[in-house]
Amino acid sequence: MTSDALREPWTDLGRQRESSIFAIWLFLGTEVLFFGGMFTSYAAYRFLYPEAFLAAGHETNIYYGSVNTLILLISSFFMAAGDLAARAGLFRFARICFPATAILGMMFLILKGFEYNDDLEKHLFPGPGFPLPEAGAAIFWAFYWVMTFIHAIHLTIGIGAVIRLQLASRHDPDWLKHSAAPEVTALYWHFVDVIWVILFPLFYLAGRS
Amino acid sequence: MSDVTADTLRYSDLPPVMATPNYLTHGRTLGSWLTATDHKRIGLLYAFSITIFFFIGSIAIAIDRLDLLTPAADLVSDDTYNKLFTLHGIVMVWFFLIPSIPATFGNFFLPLMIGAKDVAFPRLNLTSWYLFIIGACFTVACIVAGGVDTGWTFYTPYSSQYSHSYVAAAAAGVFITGFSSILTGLNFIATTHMLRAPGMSWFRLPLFVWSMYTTSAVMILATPVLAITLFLMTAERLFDIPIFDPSQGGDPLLFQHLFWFYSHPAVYIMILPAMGLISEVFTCFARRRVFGYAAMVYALTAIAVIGFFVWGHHMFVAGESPFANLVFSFLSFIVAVPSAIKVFNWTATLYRGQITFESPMLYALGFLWLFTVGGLTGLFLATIPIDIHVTDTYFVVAHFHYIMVGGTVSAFFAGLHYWWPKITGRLYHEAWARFAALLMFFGFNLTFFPQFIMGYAGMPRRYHAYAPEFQIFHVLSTAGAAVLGAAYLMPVGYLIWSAFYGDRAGANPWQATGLEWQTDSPPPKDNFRAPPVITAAPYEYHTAEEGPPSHERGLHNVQGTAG
Amino acid sequence: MSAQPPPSIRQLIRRPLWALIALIILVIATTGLAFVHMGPMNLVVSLLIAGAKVAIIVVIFMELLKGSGVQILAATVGVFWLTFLFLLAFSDYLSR
Repeated sequence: MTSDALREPWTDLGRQRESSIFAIWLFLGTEVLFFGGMFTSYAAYRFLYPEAFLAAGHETNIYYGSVNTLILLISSFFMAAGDLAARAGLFRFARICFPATAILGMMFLILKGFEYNDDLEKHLFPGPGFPLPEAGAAIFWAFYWVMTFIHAIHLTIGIGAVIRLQLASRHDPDWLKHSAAPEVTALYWHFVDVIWVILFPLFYLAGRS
Repeated sequence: MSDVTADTLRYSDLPPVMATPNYLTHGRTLGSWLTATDHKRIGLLYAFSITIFFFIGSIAIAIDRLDLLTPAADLVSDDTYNKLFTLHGIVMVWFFLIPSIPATFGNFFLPLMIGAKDVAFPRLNLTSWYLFIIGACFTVACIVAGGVDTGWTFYTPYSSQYSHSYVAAAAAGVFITGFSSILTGLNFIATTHMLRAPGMSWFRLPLFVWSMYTTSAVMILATPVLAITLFLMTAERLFDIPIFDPSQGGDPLLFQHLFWFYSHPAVYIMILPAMGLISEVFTCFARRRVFGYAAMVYALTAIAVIGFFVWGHHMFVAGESPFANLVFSFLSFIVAVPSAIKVFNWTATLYRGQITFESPMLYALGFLWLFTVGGLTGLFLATIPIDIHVTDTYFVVAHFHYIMVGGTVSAFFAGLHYWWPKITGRLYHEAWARFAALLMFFGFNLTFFPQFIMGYAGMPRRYHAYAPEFQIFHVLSTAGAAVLGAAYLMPVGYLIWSAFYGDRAGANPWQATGLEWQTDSPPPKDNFRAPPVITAAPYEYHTAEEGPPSHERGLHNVQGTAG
Repeated sequence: MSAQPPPSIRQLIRRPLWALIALIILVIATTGLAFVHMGPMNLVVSLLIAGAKVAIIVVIFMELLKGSGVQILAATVGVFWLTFLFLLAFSDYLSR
């Protein structure tokens, strides 16, 4: 019944789960500050160069941006459903939700790749041939590349974690119920989603009107 | 588990049972150490690694110190001089001081002191050590390849645009090691919340545990910002994108804001554990309860929080606005208040105590003196007009060495001598240890006190050719460094000797009340023979007002029983 | 383990599904409003809508409020500390 989900130094699964959830929330707190350093920088530069940031924001591709936002939100729905199903013991449904989540995450990355390609063709990577003349526009784009790239790295790790859930529960679906792994993975996944929800207005909605 | 059934017995009354192997004899292969998830072994893995880095960092600065004997730049080239002090800074800050007390004594004693079997996530704990080692490999690779010359602060735009040294490798090393410290902090916080033994309420926690808890909070809240700052700097350097570059509208001060948002609290990552450790030593060797336990806890917490509000005092002359200067100056004075509370409470703990001068106590008394000098000169530096006068002089160098070396390293040695019998089960040679403690105190003062004077007189830091009138101070300082070096080498000798040939320590050689002393020395793999129950507050030494002196009374009131 | 029968899938996904619908509406709204000329208010509106989306994700998908007090503390402390960074950094930028 309890099986290999219980680890040292714990003596009961409930306490172990509580600790894992507590720890992942703490970790997400550190992630808030990790991204927070970049949000502070973005805010400082937007304060210093408001016009240039609007002009630079106009050059991002809103089609890719908004479609990707929708994809991520739908993936988060599947992740939430999969986590609830795992906890309720509906393993067959959970094992449908996890691959759906992972596939949507990969779709996001593929679209992001096409978008990066478009951006590069328009010379929007700061350097020689960068089309925008305003001081500060290149800074906007520097942050666009760094922040979306770090977000993509986080999403890739998330996809790996979701695939791991699917593989680890292959022979023993019961594990999904005893281990805190589905809930921990879900919290991480939703957090990556939250970061994108904040990046979306900063990079894609600036300078549209 | 244990064949002892009488639960009224104290541990020290039990016959020494040698049947169960202790954590050191539990597995003897190298593999059993490299895959160990036991918090005690991981503590020793860290101790071994940081000792190596301590000597790397010391050798680097010893060469620079020798070069400073004469006003001319004659021993090493300008470039080498810069690379050596940078190496000293990076290695000492991130590969010695930050992990020094938390990763070694914290790992070893936090679970023991709260009556737990291990930390909350033992495998994560081992992962932290491996991350530390991977980061260390980057740093060593950077040294071997030719070093880095930016100073430990990596200030832009020099680091990101102009330096021709291995900045990216050094930054990667620090970045990765940062995650090691984040994960350690996370583990300690979860352990303190989730694994306290029955009866161990928050206000029964030993102050060392409180200091680990507050330090961990600073680690997990500050280190991510350092990580992203170094990432941005490296991205600017490698991909030539404008982030802090002033020629393209970037703001180098933004780098400094982000960097010091970590690096000022980092000072508290170094000093808070020292404060907790010193409280343990004072109470034990003064045979007296810690004065104002609750105030000590609140002071630790206040320092951890307010420590985040003062970073701008590193930027008074950097071009920060006058208004921000005022705000940061004011807040820097505020953070001195809880630090002063701690100094007064330690003094009050000693007052009318029955003090004995064993070597841990000598180191701890050295800490009290040196930390007070370092802290008070910090107030000079928080005062904007004085700071403008002494910015980037040896006055600043002396100030932070009084805190970090006089404070943290003294406390580290106090802890090493206090807990050595518990860690190894052996006693070291007390006379040698006392001699080393006194030598360290005198060597330290001889090294760094002249630096206050020459700094105030105008000797700038990071210069290796200087005006001849400063030579006397540099000669004193270099002589002091030689004494200090000898004092650091001595413990290596007598401690290693004692680990093999020292007398058996027994479970509680200091007659201390803490839970870590109520089990074998060295402790068994699972820490206690039976799950401990906590029955008292910490530090119940000498509870009766009247009565014979403490050495005639034996053990006072231990914090709990393991059975 | 528990006496209750497992809930049906329909019951299980009701709350997350409503949350998803709300989120999609908010994405469409914020994208549309971005093209309306409102001056500096464009930024404010887009950030407010982002805040609403974050709240929905955190409360419904991440079930933060169902957690213990210490979990809520762990979740908020990062945001709290980020405001320190913002406030004190901007004490410099706003007064230069």
